[in-house]
Amino acid sequence: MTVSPPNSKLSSYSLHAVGVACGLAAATWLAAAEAPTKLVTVGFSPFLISLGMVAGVFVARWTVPVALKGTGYVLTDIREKPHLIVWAIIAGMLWAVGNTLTVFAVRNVGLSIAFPLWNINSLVGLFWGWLLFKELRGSGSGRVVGGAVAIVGGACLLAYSTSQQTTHGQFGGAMLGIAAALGAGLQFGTMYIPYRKAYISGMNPLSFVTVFTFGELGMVFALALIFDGGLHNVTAELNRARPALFWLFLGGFCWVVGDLFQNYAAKYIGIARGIPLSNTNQLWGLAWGVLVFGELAGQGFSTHVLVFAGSVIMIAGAGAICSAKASESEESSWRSATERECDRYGLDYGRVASSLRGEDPLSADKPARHWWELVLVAAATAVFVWLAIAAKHPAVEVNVAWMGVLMFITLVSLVGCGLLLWKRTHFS
Amino acid sequence: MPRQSKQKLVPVGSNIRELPAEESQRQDYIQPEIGPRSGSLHTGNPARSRTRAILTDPQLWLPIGVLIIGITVLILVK
Repeated sequence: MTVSPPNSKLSSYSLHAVGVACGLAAATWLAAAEAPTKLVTVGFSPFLISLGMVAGVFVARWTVPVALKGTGYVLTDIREKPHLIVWAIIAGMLWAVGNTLTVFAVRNVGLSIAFPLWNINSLVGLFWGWLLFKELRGSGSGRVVGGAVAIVGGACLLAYSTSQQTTHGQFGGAMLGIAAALGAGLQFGTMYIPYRKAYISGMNPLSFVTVFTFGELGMVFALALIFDGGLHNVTAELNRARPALFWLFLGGFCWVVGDLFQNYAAKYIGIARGIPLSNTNQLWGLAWGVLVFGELAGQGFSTHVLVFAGSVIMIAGAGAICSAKASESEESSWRSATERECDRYGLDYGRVASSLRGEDPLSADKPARHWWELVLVAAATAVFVWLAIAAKHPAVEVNVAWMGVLMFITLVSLVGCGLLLWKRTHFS
Repeated sequence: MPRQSKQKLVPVGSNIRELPAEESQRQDYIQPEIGPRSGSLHTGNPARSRTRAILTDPQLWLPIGVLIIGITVLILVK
């Protein structure tokens, strides 16, 4: 068995810095994913909107990520760790169920109650990271926990201040709404178990996300069939929604980029640090809502104070996590979690460790790239173009100047973090 | 007298030859394999071993259990 040579051309940035940058970039893109969906006017079922967005995620998966590494690389990676197929599909299913639960939670108890409840997902992820993958077992862990709690607290404050919904319906409905919100938080938080499992096994996030999208699309499609009255109804609704599908697909595309950054953060700094950082997307979502869509127009002074306080608390929490680099004893605990995976699934520890150091042992094997990958990328891009041609300009007022500023920041985070990832890890 | 007693005694670690940088980076450098421990899940049939390793991994049942809880809540709330 061989150990691949260290990739001598890699830069020497700290992996903690790379992971932190990925977590922060994920936040900007996950928030940007929400913006196009705001343009979709009412009149469609939540399942249909979810299905449209996830279909966009699926198609987008065959554009940028395929262009980065190619399908040969992804297939070799999956063949080397086939046991992770099950985990990635389960993660996709967890996301789909969690996302559907959020729809019902908002319907029953309103966003201001539902959002803080499902936002506990980062604390759930932090707990699983500590329990199962021996994260936060060293000095500095208090700062991470404090930072994560601050981010959740800030997000709650933002949700409370920006939401106007009140609880409707009967007590039983409210209880079910609360159960749905808590259930969603549990689904999202538990979804990070497969994430971390994949990365301490040395898998590339591009490979993991590929399989993940199958589980996600399959589950969302099944839920749409069950809740939206069968295949005939879903097809008819999709046809009716075609003018709006481009915006959902665009949201899906942004989501793919954000999720990839989130996965790289989970790989290089663990879920306990990476997930709270990417959950600061609420802050960027607020910026989109307030600056581009004018959501706080006409609100009183107290609302603005709450928004300001929530934002400051979130930023302070993110700052605490950014500065809490894993100690040597914690890194040693991570290694023992990796050894467990290698032992159980017969993985080559040398290759896994190399991957976790930011090297790319798979690239040394030179997996083949095929001409038809270009056709695949072109076909996926063509779907976007086809939908864009048929897209209707939404009747929603936007502030174009602020939209330009936020898009610029989002693109800067893509280019900056993408370059950092390339220089330090070659997208390993 | 045991045979090894005739050998020259050296301090522990002093006889380890440091590999030149380029030699240690060679692709064919052999790493001792970290193999499965005794009582391992790995049998002669790789597919069967893998299936067994997946199904007996206690961590697997946690997300599956959570997924079942989520679907149950979904059925109740719809």
